[in-house]
Amino acid sequence: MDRADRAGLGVALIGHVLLFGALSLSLLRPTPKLPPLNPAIEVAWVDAKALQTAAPDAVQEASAPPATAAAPAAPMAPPEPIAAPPPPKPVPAPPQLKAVAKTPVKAALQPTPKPKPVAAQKASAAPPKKTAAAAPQRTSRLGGMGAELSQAATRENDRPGTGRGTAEKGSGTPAAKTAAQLEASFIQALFVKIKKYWRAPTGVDAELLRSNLVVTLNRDGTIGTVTVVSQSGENENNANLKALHAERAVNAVRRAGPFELPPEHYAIWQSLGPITFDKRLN
Amino acid sequence: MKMTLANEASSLSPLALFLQADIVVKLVMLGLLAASIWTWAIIVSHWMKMRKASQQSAAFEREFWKAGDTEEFARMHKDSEVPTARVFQAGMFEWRRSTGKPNIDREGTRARLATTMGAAIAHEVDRLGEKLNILATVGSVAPFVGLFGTVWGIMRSFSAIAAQQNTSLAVVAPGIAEALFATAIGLFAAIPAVIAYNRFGHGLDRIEARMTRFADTFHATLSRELEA
Repeated sequence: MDRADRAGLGVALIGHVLLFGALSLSLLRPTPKLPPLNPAIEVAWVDAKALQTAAPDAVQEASAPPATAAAPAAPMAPPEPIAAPPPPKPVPAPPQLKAVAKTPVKAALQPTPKPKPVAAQKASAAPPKKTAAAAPQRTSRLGGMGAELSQAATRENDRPGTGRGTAEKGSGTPAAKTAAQLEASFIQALFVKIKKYWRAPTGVDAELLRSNLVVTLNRDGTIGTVTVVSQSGENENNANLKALHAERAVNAVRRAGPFELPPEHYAIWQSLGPITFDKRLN
Repeated sequence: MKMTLANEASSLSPLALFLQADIVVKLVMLGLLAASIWTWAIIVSHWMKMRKASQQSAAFEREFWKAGDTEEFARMHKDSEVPTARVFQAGMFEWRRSTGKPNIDREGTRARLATTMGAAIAHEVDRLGEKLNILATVGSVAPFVGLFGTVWGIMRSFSAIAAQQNTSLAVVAPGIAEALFATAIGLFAAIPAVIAYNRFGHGLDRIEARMTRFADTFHATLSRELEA
C-alpha cells in the first residue's frame, strides 16, 4: 500500500461519507407538493328527483318573507330609504330592484337577475287594486333580499371561490330541494358501505336486471325493513336470476348496516329509496 | 411500530432504509458499500499511478534520446521506478552480461535482449494493472449481489403480507423500498467500476504500446552496437 493507494482510499472514504450524509440529511427529501392549479370545485350529488324539485318555489318564497331581516338591512343597504316609502304604482319596482342589486359587492350580482323579471312580471300582472297592499310586502321582501345579499357578500369575502354556494343559500333555497339533495347524499353514503357487500349475479343478460329497494331505518341507524318494490330489465334469459338479484340486493343492504347518518335529519332518512341496484351500483 | 418505519422509509434516507432492512439485506448492503469504497479507492489511486507513469515515461524517453552516453545514462537511472526506465535497465543488464564474455554470440544476444525486455514490459504492465481485475469483478458481480438483496427483501415483504393478512400497499411499500435500495447500491458500485475498468484498460494498452515501441527502438540501437 503505497502513497497513491492511501490517497485513493482516503478520497473514496471521504466521498462516500459525504454522499451518504448528504442523502441522509436533506438533499433527497421529497419536494413539497405544488399547490393545485385550479381551485377546488364543490360538487354535490344530485339525484334525478332533486333536479325536478330544484326550481324555486314562488309560493314558498313569498310565504316566508324575512321581515326581521329588513330592520338590520337598513343601515347596510343605502337605497333602502328609497324603497321605504311604499310606491302606489308597480312601475318603480324594477329600478328599486336594480338599485338594491347593484349596491352590494359586485360578486353577489349573479343571483339577482333571476328574481328580477319574475318580480316585475308578477307586479305588473297583479290587479291595480291590490298594488297598495302588495307594495309594502314587496318592499319588505326586497329589503330582506338586500340584507341576504349583503350577508352573502360578506360571507363571500370570507371564503373566496365558494360564491355559488353562498349566493344560493343567501337567495333562500327551497326546503324541498334541500331534502331531496340530503336524501340523495344519504343514499350515496349508503352506497359506499353497500358496495362492499353487493355482488350482482352473473349470467346471460344479468347486467340488465334492476331491483328497486326501499330501506327503512331506525333512529339508531340499524336497518328496519328492506323491501323490494319493483324489478326491471328482465327477459327470458335472466328470469331465473330475478329472485337471486333481489335477494342479493336485500342481503347487501342488511350486511352493510348499521349506518351512521346525522340524527337531526332522521325525518329524511328514516325511509330511503327506492334505491336502484344494478350491476355496478352507483 | 410499523407506522414509524413507514414514515422513515418515506423520507428516502439511506440510513433509515438501511436500519430497517433484514439482516441478509443489511449484509448485502454493507458488502456493496465496501465494494464501492474499494472501487473508488482503486480508481483514484490507479488514475494517479497511470498519470505519473505515463508522464515520467515520456520524460525518461526524451532524456534517453538526448543523452549521449548510454552507460552513463544507465548509471543515472539505476534505481528509477519509471516503467520505461525498468525496461531500459532490463535491456542494459542483459546487454552487459551478454557482451561481458570474450566470444559474443550476436544472434543469441539479440534474442535474449528481446526476450528480457519483453518480459520487463509484461512485468510492468502486470504491476500497473494488478488491481484492474477487482474493478472488473465488482462491475460484473455487484448488480447481481444487489439483485439478490432485493429479491430477498421482496420475499420478506410478501411474507409480511401473508402474516398480516393485509394487502394494502402500506404493508409492502417500506419493505420493497428497502429491498430496492440494495439494487441501487449494487448499481452505484458497479457503474463506476465498469467505466473505470474500460478506461484504465485502454490507458494500460497505450502505456504498453509506448513501452514496446521504446523497447523495439532500444533493441535496434543495441543490435547496431553489436555489429560494430
